[in-house]
Amino acid sequence: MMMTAPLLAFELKKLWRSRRPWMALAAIAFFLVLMLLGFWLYADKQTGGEAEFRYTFENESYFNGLTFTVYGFWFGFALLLPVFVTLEAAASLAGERDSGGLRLLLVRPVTRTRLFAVKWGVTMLFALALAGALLGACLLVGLVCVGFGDLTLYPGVLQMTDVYQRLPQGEALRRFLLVWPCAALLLMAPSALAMCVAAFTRSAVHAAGVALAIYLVLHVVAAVPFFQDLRPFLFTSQIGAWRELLHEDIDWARLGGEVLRALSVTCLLLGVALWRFRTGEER
Amino acid sequence: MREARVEFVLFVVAALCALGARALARPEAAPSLGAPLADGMRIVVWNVGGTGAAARSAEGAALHADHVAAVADGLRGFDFDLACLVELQDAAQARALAQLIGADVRVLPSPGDRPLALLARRGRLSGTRALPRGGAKRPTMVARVRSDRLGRDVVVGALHASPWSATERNAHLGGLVDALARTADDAPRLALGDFNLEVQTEGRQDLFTDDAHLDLETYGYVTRALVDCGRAAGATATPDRRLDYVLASEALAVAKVVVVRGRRRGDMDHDPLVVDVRLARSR
Repeated sequence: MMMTAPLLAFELKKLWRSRRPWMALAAIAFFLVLMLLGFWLYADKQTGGEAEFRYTFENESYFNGLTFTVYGFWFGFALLLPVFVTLEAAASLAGERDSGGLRLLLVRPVTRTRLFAVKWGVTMLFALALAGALLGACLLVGLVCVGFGDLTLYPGVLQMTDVYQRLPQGEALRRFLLVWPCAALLLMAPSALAMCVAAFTRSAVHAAGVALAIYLVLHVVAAVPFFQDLRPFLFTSQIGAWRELLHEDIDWARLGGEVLRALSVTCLLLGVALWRFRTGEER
Repeated sequence: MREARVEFVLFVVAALCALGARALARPEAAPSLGAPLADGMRIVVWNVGGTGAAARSAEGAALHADHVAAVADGLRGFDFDLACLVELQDAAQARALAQLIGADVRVLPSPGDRPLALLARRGRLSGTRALPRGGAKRPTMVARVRSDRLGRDVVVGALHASPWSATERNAHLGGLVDALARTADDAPRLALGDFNLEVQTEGRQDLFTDDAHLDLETYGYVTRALVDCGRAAGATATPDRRLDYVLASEALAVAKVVVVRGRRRGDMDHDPLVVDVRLARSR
């Protein structure tokens, strides 16, 4: 039987050569440039006498590089990273089936379950690297362009908290370090969805399109306030659970519950995907 | 056959994760109202108006005459010390309600809007005045209430903020907070009413406002000075919105907060918010 390590190395080499990681990194860089521009224009407007409101908590000390990191990572994580992880999962399974590469791979003495596990593992390594790259880039841009300070979170802003929170700079940076693996873990559900869809299709484009469409539908439905009874069953409502790690007092039970829900969906989708991949016939 | 076991394991893990998430998310039982504190003050905020569905009005409707007795029964059952009733028909209706309950009453006429009333039991209202409008179109009532159980005077501000304009809510609520801060003596302060703004930590918060960020600014400004007593009590209005507030200065400590369900009549769309406070221990 073919060992896992050479198979993993082979899949990683394919990912490296596919240019998909570079496309993702370029998109992240473009996103951060636009975020910076947006914040600069906003700050310019607010301090240029055009503010329409009088009673405000915003002041010079409120916004700093750590606040920028929270904003950048939250928007990028919820809407950007799932796209790239989905594309990768769809390409690794349905793309290879489409190109005939999968058939060639299965000629080797490797079980389908092991091949599936390796492809899934590579997708998750990709997710971990992307989450790290986005978080690191946000922190770097925040430090260089804005400057660090304490992390202050006001109620309702980014829906992070409903009560004023303040983390000293050192503690905030330690919390961001925890955010990285937690966020990557929460990306498992969208990638499992893409693997599941890809297991049923022969075209990477179709697989990615359908998986992204389902993700966006769930994302929109989870955002509607009066669908709160539906929300626990939608993995898109758990995708921002890492934000709990930036609270002064972390509610570990709440965070654990959200992560377990996401893992439950992930295992369910992976189980279906594996069954289909294992029993489907390659032509 | 051996490979099928992996799928089975995935499904079992999915089920275990779901059960684990369910166990961690055990909801706390809603507190029962119970008797008021012997050394505290029970405060009720209740928008008793309706959606206007019965009268086919898009602007909502004041408390219907048929429901006055039910509202009086409800208020008597709460055994309150201070109540803020929003969207009454007129001053005569407020006085009739006060008579049914045996309460001291002050009414804030509001041209173009339905009046708001403060009712006090086991105490007296005095020094009632309407604040200068400033940037707000709607009026604000400020009064002093002598609470027998608390053994102190409390300065109370009450208003019904605009449901349509975040800019106006900003001016209205900011003006109230500033007015309470200017109060000369060290009496505890309360801000009550239907503020028509909400801070969400889940779901979209831009569906019911013309400027979600400005509402957050307003909430941040207000809660920098006063404690939001009903933060954890849940929605007070349809659909799942927390619009009614009791805000207290740090001289008061929250002992209990309950949104009482099942008291609506006809097309009413708000539940009463009941808060027990007592004097905070000096630090």
